[in-house]
Amino acid sequence: MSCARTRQMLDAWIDQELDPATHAALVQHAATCPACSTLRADRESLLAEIRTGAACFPAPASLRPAVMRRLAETREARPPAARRTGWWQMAALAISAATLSSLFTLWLTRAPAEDAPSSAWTVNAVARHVAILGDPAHLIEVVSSDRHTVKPWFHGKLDFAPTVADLSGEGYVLLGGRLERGAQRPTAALVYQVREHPISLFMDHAEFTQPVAIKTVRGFSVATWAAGGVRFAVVADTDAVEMARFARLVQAAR
Amino acid sequence: MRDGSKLERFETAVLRHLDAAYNLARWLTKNDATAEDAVQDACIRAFRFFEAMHGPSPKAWFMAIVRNACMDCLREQKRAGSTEEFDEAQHSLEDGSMRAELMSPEGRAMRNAEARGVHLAIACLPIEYREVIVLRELEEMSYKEISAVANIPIGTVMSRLARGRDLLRDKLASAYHEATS
Repeated sequence: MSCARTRQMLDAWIDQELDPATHAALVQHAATCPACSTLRADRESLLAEIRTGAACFPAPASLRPAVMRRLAETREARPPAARRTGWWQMAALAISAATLSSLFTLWLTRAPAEDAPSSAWTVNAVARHVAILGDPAHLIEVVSSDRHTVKPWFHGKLDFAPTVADLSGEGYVLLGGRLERGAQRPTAALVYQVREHPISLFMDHAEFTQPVAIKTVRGFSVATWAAGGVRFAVVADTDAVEMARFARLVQAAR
Repeated sequence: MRDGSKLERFETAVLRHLDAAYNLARWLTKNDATAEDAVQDACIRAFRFFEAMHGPSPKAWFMAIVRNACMDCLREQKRAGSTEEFDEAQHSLEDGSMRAELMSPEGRAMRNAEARGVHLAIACLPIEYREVIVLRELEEMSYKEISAVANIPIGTVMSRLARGRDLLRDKLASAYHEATS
């Protein structure tokens, strides 16, 4: 274990967030390295200072009654059926096995491959794709194969710039777009078609990057990635090769 | 599922974290009324989607909703041209904002100078560092929970915590030097 690596993992070490082997290696290193040992002691006293100095703001006494009152109103006003698709899925985190870097030890021990929040975005995309297939006439809100019509249609409706690529030269015809408003943050949806296969491309604002991952969900191929402040999900009943090709074209168009 | 029992289960699993929710909201929005509004909105949303609760823990799930409600409130305030700051990422840890916080009611109410220094240093952190610091140091959440709340990968939780603590250390050191020179 080097000093540089120790420093890199100092906080995760103190926070007990490392796997036992890495943790033991750091302990062993610090035992023979006064500099790193001092760094850890300094960090621990800083944390003690923060924890004793920072105050929690207690909730005002009026908050709980106000919440209960509003819940009562909501339950009367809203039938319980309105809970199937939701913005909460957008609130979910997208961790996948994608961002392996120098932090891989942390990842290996802390992030299981089947991380549920990651698949929420995927599962939601599949559900939306199925909905669009079921009623394209109503669900495609801006019907146009012209990106110069579709892209401006999203202006002012989203807090990020969606990628609206002209891929007709590659055989992908743009059918149109729609806005998924059920989400807390609106999601942009584009529908393309290649031969007889409709392809849905969903985009939403994201503050992380993630390389392309392709998997099969309920028989659909799904590609997900995040780059340039936007998270993408592509759903189609094509195979993984076709899906990878489409994902590459969208990435290149950005 | 009958509504009555759903509400009971909601109270047990989610509303027990109301203090934590308000604490996070107050640190993020820096305003009592905005924090209350955000937590109320978050509770309504959480109740509506309670059956779909997921993630590392009920607390993390609820706090993610609270956090998003806060971001919505801040975004709305910014859109409305309010003077409330939306994203302090562009604001450095300058002494001006530090003094402004010092003049605020809770600043004056702080019991001692050292605690006030820590409190103000956290309050002046850019929001992306402030949220991970509050979730870790005050709410004692795991990296996995924080990543779910803040919607960032675990690696980013780790780097933001490290950077946030560095910023606090530097801020506290310079405040100490000012006080003693």
